[in-house]
Amino acid sequence: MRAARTAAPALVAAALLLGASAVEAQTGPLFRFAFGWQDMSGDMGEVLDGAVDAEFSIMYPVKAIRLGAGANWVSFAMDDFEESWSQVRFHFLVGYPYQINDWLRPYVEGRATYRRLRPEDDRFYGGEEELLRDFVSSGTGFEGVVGTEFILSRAASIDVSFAGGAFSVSPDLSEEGLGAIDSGLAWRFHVGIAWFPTNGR
Amino acid sequence: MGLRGSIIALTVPLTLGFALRASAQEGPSAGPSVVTAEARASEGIPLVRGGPGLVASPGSREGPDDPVPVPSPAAVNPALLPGWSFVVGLPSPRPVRPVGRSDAPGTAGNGSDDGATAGEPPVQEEVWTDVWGQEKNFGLAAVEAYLGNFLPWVFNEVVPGRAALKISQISPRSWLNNLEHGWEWDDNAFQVNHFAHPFQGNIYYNAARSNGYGYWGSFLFATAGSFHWECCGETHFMSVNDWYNTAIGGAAVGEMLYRTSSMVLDNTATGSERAWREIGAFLMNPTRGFTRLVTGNASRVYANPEHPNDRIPNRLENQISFGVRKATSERRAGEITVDDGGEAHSFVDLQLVFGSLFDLERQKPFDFFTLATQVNLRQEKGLGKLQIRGNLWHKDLSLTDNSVSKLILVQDFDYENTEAFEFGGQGASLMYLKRTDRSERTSFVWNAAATWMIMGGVNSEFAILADVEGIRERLREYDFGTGLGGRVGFQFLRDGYRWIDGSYRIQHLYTLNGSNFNGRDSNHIVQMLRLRAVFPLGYRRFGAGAEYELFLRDSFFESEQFGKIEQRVPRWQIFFTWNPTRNVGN
Repeated sequence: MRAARTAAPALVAAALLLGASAVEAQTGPLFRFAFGWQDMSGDMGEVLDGAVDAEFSIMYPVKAIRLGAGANWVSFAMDDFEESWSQVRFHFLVGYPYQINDWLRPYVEGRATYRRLRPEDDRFYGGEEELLRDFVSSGTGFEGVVGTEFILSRAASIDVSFAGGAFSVSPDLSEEGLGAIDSGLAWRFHVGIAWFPTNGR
Repeated sequence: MGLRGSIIALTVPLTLGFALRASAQEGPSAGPSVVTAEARASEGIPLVRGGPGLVASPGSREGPDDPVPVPSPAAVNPALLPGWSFVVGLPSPRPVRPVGRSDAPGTAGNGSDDGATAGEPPVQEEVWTDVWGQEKNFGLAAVEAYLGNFLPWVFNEVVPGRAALKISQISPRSWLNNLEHGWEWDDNAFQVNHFAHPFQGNIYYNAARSNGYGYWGSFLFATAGSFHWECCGETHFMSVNDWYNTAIGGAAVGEMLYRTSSMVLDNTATGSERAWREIGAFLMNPTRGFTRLVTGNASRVYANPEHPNDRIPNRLENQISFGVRKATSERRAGEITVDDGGEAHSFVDLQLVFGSLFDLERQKPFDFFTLATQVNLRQEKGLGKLQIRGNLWHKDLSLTDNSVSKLILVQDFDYENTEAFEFGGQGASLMYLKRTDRSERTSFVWNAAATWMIMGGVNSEFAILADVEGIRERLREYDFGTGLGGRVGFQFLRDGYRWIDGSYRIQHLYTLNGSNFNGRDSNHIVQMLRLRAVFPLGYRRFGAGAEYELFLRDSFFESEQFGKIEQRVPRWQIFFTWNPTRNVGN
């Protein structure tokens, strides 16, 4: 969060300086790598604490919109528990960039998500006991994203985005002794790199 | 955010912003003056793609009348500063150089747009490409390498048997945990560490190799791609043996597959022949096939590389054998002898000699390489052998009418995985090679090499006690080690046929992880003797032969209880051979 708070005003300032410059619209596939902070509210927010997350998306422009898919990884801390929970989230997205000829390129995205939540195997983090539970709770949801790309070149942009969405999972977490929790709201803030590997052509 | 953080946060991007603007005003600051693609289009100047294999030449199927507009690095919006090109993947203007062939129409190659007016020959578009017509594209190479990790992670995540291992539960937490913990050794099976990982490294390697990079640049990609997987592709601790095998072995396997797939490709072919060639090359080298599909080279008709070694070398020997093999194994510790038995089984092997060490004109890695494989039929361990030797550097020592001698630096890739023993790893050797022609039909070749096994593995009785931190998946049956050794070889050639081929190798391996548990040293001396004779059978593409191999392992354990263990594995095989593309080898 601290890095994000630091980067945001800096990017806004730089964008204001350069925002008037015209650039050439980019085409071709777009890759986005981002780090950020993900937190939850709603029912799921009662047991899962926020954590640093990472995300990868691949997109392809089709006329004025972008179609794509990707994955998101996060290891949630738990309220009142020592263990952590792992979440892998896949998404399909439809995006719409504005001002495609400007240095500052805002965009919106709608995403259909599929996530898998499970107790994280602590063996990998120095724990001695093998996690015998093989519990996975999965389900679908949606997410809305607003963000902006700060164009560095034909090949790359800095990407800043904010997203929020809702989801439900099944089975609920009662089997894990966490109550009948099967839905939640997920929020995240990301800073990353948007990359046109074919130089935007 | 404190005052200091605010100042930094505002100053850095603003400084960057001014740099961007200043650069934008200056425009392209280095390199030859080049007509941009946009400028050409606006002026109605035809675009002709440059570089070997892409420039229209007399008689080629692609000419100025059929221009292919391809953007060049110089066609990038001048508002983009050259200094950022390294970071964001844009080819810098500076390395762009004229590479057009002088015999091609419109290939002025002077990088000037002077006189580029209507009615004059079209100006050569200056785009650097490799000999296969591929521009250097860091972005696409990096993305392909990334997908080479992303897709295996998806496999681990969604396939039930793999998901149960929980190694796909990656997150920024696991990445930080792995980076903080550092390197460990793993206990994977021999074929996983010494074959599967090099094959995975080949994907990273060819992501770069097929995008305009050479051997060394692609090797760096394999190194980085492997590191990325080790730190961030799974929750296991980073494995140093995986990193070595994937990076170094990936370069050997990758370059071998790049060269062999080059023999299948034909840029001038059309129709179904072209389709089958592209499919064949795709199956041999999927990463390269993917690149050719994405870039359109798979369907574009243009010239093949000019130098034979970039496609089909002047000298090529391809020998396929089918036969029966019998191996036995015996181990001895002091007065105790254990007969491990052995049984006969059939096999198929492929031996490929690409190019000739004696014809090397260029300092280009793997302009000469040998490949030896053996597939065991009806055996648990199917792939019994994969051996690659490729030149990295060479120097002529002497040259007379009937003899030549050279000094050659060779990359060694060894993988032998049989029921009786396991031996393999990544190494390099400095080899002295001499060939003497006794007559027009008869030649002798001999060589002597000093070898260094950078990291190798050999079966060991006490490797199960290895210190392997983190998750134990199995008990490892082989040691990891490093060491020096030597190799000598002899060949008798008649009419280009390799009648007799013999070699002897001795290799020391000092155990780095395995039997050296609790601080006790262990060492292995491995010796391998091989004698092979092949005789033509009338119709000269066919032959019959016999081979004798002897594998000896002397393992020395510091522990008094273990002492010394010897293993002796003699192997006999008889076979028929077929040489579909036999030429003079070596």
